[in-house]
Amino acid sequence: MVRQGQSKKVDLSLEIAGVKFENPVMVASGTFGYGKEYADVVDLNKIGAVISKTLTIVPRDGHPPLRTFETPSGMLNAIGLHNIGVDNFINDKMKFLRSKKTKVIANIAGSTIEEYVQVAEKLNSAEGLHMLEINISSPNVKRGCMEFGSRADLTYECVKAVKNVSKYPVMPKLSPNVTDIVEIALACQEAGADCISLINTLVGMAIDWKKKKPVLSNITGGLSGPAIKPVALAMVWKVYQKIKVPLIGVGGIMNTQDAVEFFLAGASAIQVGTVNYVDPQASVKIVEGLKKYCQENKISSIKELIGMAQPSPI
Amino acid sequence: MVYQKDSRVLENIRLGKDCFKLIFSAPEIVKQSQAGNFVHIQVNPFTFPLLRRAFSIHEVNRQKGSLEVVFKVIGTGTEHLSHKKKGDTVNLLGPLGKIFSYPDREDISIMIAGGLGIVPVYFLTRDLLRKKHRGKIYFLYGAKEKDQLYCLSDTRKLPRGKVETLYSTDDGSYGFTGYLDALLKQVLKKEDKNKVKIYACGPEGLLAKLSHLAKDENLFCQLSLEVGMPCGMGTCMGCVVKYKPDCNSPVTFKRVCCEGPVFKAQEVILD
Repeated sequence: MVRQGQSKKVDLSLEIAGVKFENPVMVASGTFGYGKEYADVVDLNKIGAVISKTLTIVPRDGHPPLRTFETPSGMLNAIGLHNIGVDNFINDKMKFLRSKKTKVIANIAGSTIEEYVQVAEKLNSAEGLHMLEINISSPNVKRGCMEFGSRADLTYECVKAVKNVSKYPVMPKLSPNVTDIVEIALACQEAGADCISLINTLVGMAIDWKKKKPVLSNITGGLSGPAIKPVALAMVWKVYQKIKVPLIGVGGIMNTQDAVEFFLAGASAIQVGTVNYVDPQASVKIVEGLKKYCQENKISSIKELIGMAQPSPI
Repeated sequence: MVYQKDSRVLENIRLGKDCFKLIFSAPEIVKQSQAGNFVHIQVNPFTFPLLRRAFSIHEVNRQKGSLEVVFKVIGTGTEHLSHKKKGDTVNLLGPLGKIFSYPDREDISIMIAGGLGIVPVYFLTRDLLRKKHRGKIYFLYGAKEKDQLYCLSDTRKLPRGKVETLYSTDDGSYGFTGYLDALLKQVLKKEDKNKVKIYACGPEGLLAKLSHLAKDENLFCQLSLEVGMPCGMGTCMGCVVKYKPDCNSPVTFKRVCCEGPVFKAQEVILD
């Protein structure tokens, strides 16, 4: 018998390729730094996973200003992979991250497939790491990333190469800026991806009508935030129907309701991104919100929600 | 320590046509705040405008635990903020950013307040007075015209014996006629440049001139920069400024939110 005031326990945990996440809420790459930046205001122990800013083989300086611009219910960014490099991440950032209960995922990128492989190899020595997310989807660099992620053959080659050298499960992150995202997801699955995250930002731009020039120094940027949520949701829905590996839904999730919609569409876990800028505590609030939603809907495990809105197989 | 707190509006004071002063109750943030710090304010709980807005702290009352921000309505975010009423709750994140390096007692401090750039240097001045700072302080406050010297009621209260307050307007409607950098040059003629510490905030054009002046004359000068900041916490890498600490270094990028907003004038490149 459940005593009054004591709520029934909800199982929010999930396991992907042997990695057990306490809950299915992750903070998306590029929106949470290397974790420590938010430690004053967010209890990292309560987040399923922290995904690092994209790491490259050497530190990168990124694009000149202006790099970001707010748009209706969204924002554009063209950072250009400004990051501290994989060595500094291992030496300076991992100690703090491994002291927390959260799982740690390193997001990696390169200009060539060899660079992806080099970063992955280096991370094999990072104690306390749990998974790699492969950035084949940033729209803001001339070489690498979306260049690979927009072609199924190059996606396969890149994911396979990383998978071959990494001791961790791998999660390619897909771009929405493709003709058929299912084709790219299938290439990832075939190459041995353990799970797939989708979506990265949508290519967009803004023009300053007074200066009569593009706002961003890179001209185009990636659109994120609640404006892109319906696009992300539709892509998770579509990919879920053809793919066996777990999907991690990301794109414009602001609150529990948005998160639940992604589970119903077929996501096994979710990432929150832009909302971290608005409310750093959003991820923790969503974890609590998911518990409450499951209790209210008499759901004992979050796994029951995955794909629940999808048509039942005949 | 950074805090994220729902903070009550204690007062919303109209300072001019489109200019407002909001006073918040935020004891934890106030306790940690020093001149140069800013707060990142969520203007409403909806998705538009989506991002927080960054405001330097204008003044604190450490006994009451209150802090003041001053802003002009320039877009949707500030428009929303201008409608806040006493008792409303607004989410604040702060204190954020690097502070000014406070002057020593033998230094001659020159505050350069261009328009609403008065905010962080006013806080610095008030904080120095509270700390019973003995050094000489100049406070140079300028705007396009008298009506845009929005914080005149604050600067008039600066004690005359301790702070020499000088005004400039582009149109000559109040104080010296001309730009602040010209007024600064007049003050510099009177003082020993080796003892001078300049603290400035204002329009980019003014700061660019000060940056050049500081380089040419080898002056101690700190600038507080203003740019749009999505996160305010150093994670989005979106608010960078071009940075070149000396002539032998390559140009790199520094985040204004956490590696600034206060920078040495010689080290940043302002276009």
